[in-house]
Amino acid sequence: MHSDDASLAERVLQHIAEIGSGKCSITDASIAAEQDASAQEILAGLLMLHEDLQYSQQRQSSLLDDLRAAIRARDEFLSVASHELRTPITTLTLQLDGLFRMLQQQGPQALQETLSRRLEVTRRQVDRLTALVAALIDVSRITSGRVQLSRQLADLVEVIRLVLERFGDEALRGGSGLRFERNGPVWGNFDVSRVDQVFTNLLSNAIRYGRGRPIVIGTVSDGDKARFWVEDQGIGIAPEHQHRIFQQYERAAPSTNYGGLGLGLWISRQLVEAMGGTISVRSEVDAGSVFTVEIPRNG
Amino acid sequence: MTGKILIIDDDDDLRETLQLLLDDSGYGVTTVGTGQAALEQLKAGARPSLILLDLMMPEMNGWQFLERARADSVLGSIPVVIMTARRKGADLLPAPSKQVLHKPFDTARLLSTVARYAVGH
Repeated sequence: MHSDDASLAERVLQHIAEIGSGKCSITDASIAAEQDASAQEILAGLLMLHEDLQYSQQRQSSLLDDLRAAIRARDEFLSVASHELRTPITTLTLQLDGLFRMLQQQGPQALQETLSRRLEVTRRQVDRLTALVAALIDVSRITSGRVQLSRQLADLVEVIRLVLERFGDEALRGGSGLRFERNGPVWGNFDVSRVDQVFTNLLSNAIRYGRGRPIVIGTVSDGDKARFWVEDQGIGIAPEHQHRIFQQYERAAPSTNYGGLGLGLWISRQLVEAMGGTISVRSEVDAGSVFTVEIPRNG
Repeated sequence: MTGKILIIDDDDDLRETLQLLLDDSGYGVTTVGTGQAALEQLKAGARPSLILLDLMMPEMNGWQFLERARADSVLGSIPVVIMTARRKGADLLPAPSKQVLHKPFDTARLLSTVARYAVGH
């Protein structure tokens, strides 16, 4: 072997060791300074190898960051989900204990009144658990692409009105008055139960985050589109969180203060998009939020 | 020691259920839905022998309530039992809370925990 070749081979080995530890002292200038064309080629190849490695490492570390963020969001979700599930189960357990005690102790007259009150609370816990399970089933349906729409001719105003009727008590308990602004029916070909679900989600968010202040609901027909919105005057959403809230497991309000799975808006967006529509938010911290849904009338 | 209990929980149904149950067992029960309302009652002179505290509440949560109550030497001496669904990581619980009722808990567990601090009639 020629002595120049031997020293080149040694340098190449050194560069490889260097590249292995994430550094590279080869530069365009040091390549140009080489006398021999094949040495230039080898060093240029090593520099490229180093750059490729650096790029793929950066890409890996950014993927790792994304993965960590996703795991954090999922852990947070599991912690909140356990709270959401365990609170109604606690109430159910205590109520059922109480029902048994009552049956053993009380006379038939007192029994009827307390029994119906207790059964009412028990029933409400079962509804809460049912809704939680339904949300989890929706997630699996949506992520596996199994959402099916069943459209029928319906008046959006009537769909909204029925939800409002259902929510009357809950809104009152939260202290929020509900006002419905509409001017005439909004007929269209809608998946009534999915529209109901999306509106229900927006309205329960408005009650939860609305600080007990008035909530305004509106519907309007706009050419071939139907629009509805829910406006609260509650805690609002900071601009940096506004894009996040439509993502899976994400939430703007801290889970140390507010329950909820962090799935409602994600599910809503998926359903609205499946209907060929859009969902958007305008919000200001401490002033409130307006969520607007627009769907085609002949979807 | 008298059997007065203050329940702080934003869940209407659970609050009502706990009140019903503890009332039945002879305790004097007061309930509030927020940490803020609880502090106001305590500052106005209410002296329960035990506080049952939920952690996850809007506005002022359970951690914030405890922090405020413990800054006051009189309020800080009232025993607090925390009701929580959280399992993982003791650091999630405010120190030094020794007493925790893990949700879901049943009547026997609730009554035996409460009985350690307050005597019913």
